[in-house]
Amino acid sequence: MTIYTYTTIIQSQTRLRRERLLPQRGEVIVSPGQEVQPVQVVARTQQATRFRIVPASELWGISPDEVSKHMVVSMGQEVQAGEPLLHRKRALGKQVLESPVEGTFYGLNNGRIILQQHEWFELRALVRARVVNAIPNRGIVLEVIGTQIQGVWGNGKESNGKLKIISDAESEQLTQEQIKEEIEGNVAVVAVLSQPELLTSLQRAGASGLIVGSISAESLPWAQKAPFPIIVTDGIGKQGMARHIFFLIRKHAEGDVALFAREPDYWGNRPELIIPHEISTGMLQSPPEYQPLAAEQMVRILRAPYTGQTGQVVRLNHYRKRTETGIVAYGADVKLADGTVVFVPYANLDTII
Amino acid sequence: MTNTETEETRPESFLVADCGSTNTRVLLFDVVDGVYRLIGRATTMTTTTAPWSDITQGITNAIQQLSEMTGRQLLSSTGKVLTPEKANKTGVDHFMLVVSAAPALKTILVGLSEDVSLNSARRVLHTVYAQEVDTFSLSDGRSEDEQVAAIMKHKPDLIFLTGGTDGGADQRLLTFARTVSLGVTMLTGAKRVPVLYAGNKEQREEITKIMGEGIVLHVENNVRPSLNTENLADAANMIGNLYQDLRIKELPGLHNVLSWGKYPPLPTARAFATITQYFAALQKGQVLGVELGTESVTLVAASQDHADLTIRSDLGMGRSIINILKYVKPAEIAHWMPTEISNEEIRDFLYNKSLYPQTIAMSPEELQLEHAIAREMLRIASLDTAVDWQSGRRAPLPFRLLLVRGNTFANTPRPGQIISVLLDALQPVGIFAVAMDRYGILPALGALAQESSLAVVQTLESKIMADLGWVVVPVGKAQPGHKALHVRIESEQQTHYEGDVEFGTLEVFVLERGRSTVTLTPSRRFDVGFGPGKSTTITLSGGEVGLVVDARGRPLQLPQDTVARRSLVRQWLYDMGG
Repeated sequence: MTIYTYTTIIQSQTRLRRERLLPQRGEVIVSPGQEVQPVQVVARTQQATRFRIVPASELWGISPDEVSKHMVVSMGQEVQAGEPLLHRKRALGKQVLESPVEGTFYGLNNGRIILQQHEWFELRALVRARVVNAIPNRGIVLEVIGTQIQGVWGNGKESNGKLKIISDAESEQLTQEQIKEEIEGNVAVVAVLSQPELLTSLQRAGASGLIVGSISAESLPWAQKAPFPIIVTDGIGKQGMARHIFFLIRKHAEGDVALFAREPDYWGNRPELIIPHEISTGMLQSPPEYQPLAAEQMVRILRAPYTGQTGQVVRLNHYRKRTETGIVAYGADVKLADGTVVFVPYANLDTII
Repeated sequence: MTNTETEETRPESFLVADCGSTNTRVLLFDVVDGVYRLIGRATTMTTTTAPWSDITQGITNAIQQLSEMTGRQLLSSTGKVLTPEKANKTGVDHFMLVVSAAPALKTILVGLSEDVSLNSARRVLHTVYAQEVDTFSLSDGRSEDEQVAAIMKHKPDLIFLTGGTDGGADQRLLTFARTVSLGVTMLTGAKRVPVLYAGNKEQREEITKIMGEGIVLHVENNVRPSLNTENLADAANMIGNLYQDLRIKELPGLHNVLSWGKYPPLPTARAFATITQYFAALQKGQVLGVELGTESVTLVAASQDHADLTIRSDLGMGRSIINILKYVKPAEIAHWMPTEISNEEIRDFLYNKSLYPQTIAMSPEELQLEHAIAREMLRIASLDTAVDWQSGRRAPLPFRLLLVRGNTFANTPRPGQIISVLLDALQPVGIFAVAMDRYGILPALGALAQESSLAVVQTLESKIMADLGWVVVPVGKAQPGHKALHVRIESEQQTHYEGDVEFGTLEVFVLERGRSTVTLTPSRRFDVGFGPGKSTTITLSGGEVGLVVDARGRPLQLPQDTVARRSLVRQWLYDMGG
């Protein structure tokens, strides 16, 4: 029987390619072959941030169809505040409708003029890498060598910094006393965050990001609003960080990290962190492949009573077994870190590749 | 008989793939010893999401498993379903697809009155997998700029505009139309967001003009032609088509799968509604279908000639499980727990389950918590179906059969636990049977009904449904401990049992194998559906639990005192074998 389970990529030494794309058409300012630094701007665009509706037909008391006859700007044209949008001759001179703001003439809808206002949006590399491809007007493809870890939740932001390991153990809860000055400009690594106010403390201390094993549901609204990226690696609650992930990150303490904390979406896209580092070619792992579950595979258990524990598949059971609740399910026997072997339904396994 | 005639009369075989948001199931139906049977089924992960992003892979994985189990080759060397069936019993004659794997249709509702037009629009929206992302109405305090910004922020799949009764002329509806037109114009993207208008028919022309040529406008009959009439069918039909076009057909890899058969993909809820109506025809009475899914909750109130479908895509036991907190507080979920649990633990559990929707409970405490959440979720969802829209009155629907399905129930070990969840959540009344779709077969049968009624009927006759038991709920009030109902049971084996059920209690009577004759005699103030104090005799057969008499009263009251409440909940669970 071919079994696929939920899967998480945790690669300690890999070569991966990532697209860095603008949200809309713009200008790409680096070229293939170029080495880029994390803070380097690789592409930019003018992004519409606001719009302003000018109810022209209402203001002049004319029908919506008549407005276009008096327009003196064309679609896409930049206008300054005070510049004429509409112009018509009157018996005693002329009448002008001026733009109330600086912006771009976007269009006309039912006699109303739509003006868009813009801001520059700069896309940074966030990671030390090599540009391997440029996608005209959209962005680039970067090649990075290092460690890749997928998370389960992110707050939609991205940034970079140096890894500052705060927790001493994979199940330790963050306390106020652990938040010190040296966090400034760095990415804090924490096993468990239970109190929302600690996010405010991290912000005040100047953290540039947070990697956390598990976070309380109560803290999520604060995490969503935090100005820095947050990646949760394991889940919601007090289960902490999977031992395997904790030790892997700790190995790169003080090293650079890039956080791409995208929010998990319906289509299975997940947040990830990338730690770029030197690896000799011979040590590079092959890119991860999604393969059926097999014996000796490393897995993480997703539900109580073993939530967050990692282990190795001993055998796949081709018949259904009874769990503690009385449910009979197909599953695997998994050897935990302490040597005990437990039965876990396939639905509750996360294959680590 | 010639060879051609043999070919024509050979019963046809069917392979149905049911792609849910987390699991894909394939089911093979064919004739064995002259009657249709479910030959086998296999389940794998759905692969519409990353890293696969192709629905085909999950379906072919499941079909390969089914082939291994049945020894029947179903896929060609190129990975397509082999059709038609060959003489050597390879392949199948028909391939069908049932889908609930597509995301919900993000919709903005726009209407004048919350109580009238928007209420009806919402009922239309609940006939498909749709999510109401925002609502503009006269009670909305936002400016036009803010409403346009909301359209841009939500990037909806559809804007559903309604309002006004036929014949009136309300300028406010036209103002809304202008806002919608502007918002849609401002949305950048590959596709223009369509607008569905099902409001005052006198204003169609003006609405069409306001939308202009650049906007795809669908016009249907007014959902509220007058204050006292409602017409949902036309708009519901159109929104069903839009869901197919905008969501199902956009599923990655679907075009491959569609080339394997001649049937269009059928939304799972529609298939479930079809088969629930089938049961209503067989029962010659009302049937209530309940699906507690991963991404939605579906309720079908079916009679012989009609099925009323309500889909709540904002609820479900998977990703959307956290939405329950919009309707109830964690403490209200905790009310159903027999042991102490903190609000924090409940919130953490909900959010964690939303991250791992496919997982199942492995500890008794988590199973109890899932059931507590299920109770509140079904209660919330049932409020939609129980409301009589004309009077606004909540009226429990009488039905003869309660059909249940969904992963939470399928992963519940004891049938009494399932009945207990249903009774607490829906608080039904009267006399009815409870049957469960343990093998996840009902949507497939709903699809099969398009082609072969015979296959559906014969498969159902093979006892493919789990008969959980019978329920009697007397309606009335008395002091706790006073008699509500006298029950006398006579089995085919000539044994008999009789006893009283006290008000405020839940009793389970074992029914012996075969048929039992049950006489129910309510006390003077109680009614089992035939009038206060009127007795009735019914013939029942078996069931995994037996006969449950729920004399706890309606509406169900839980004690305010925490210790007393936990003790009572524990007692009820014990009574039901949980």
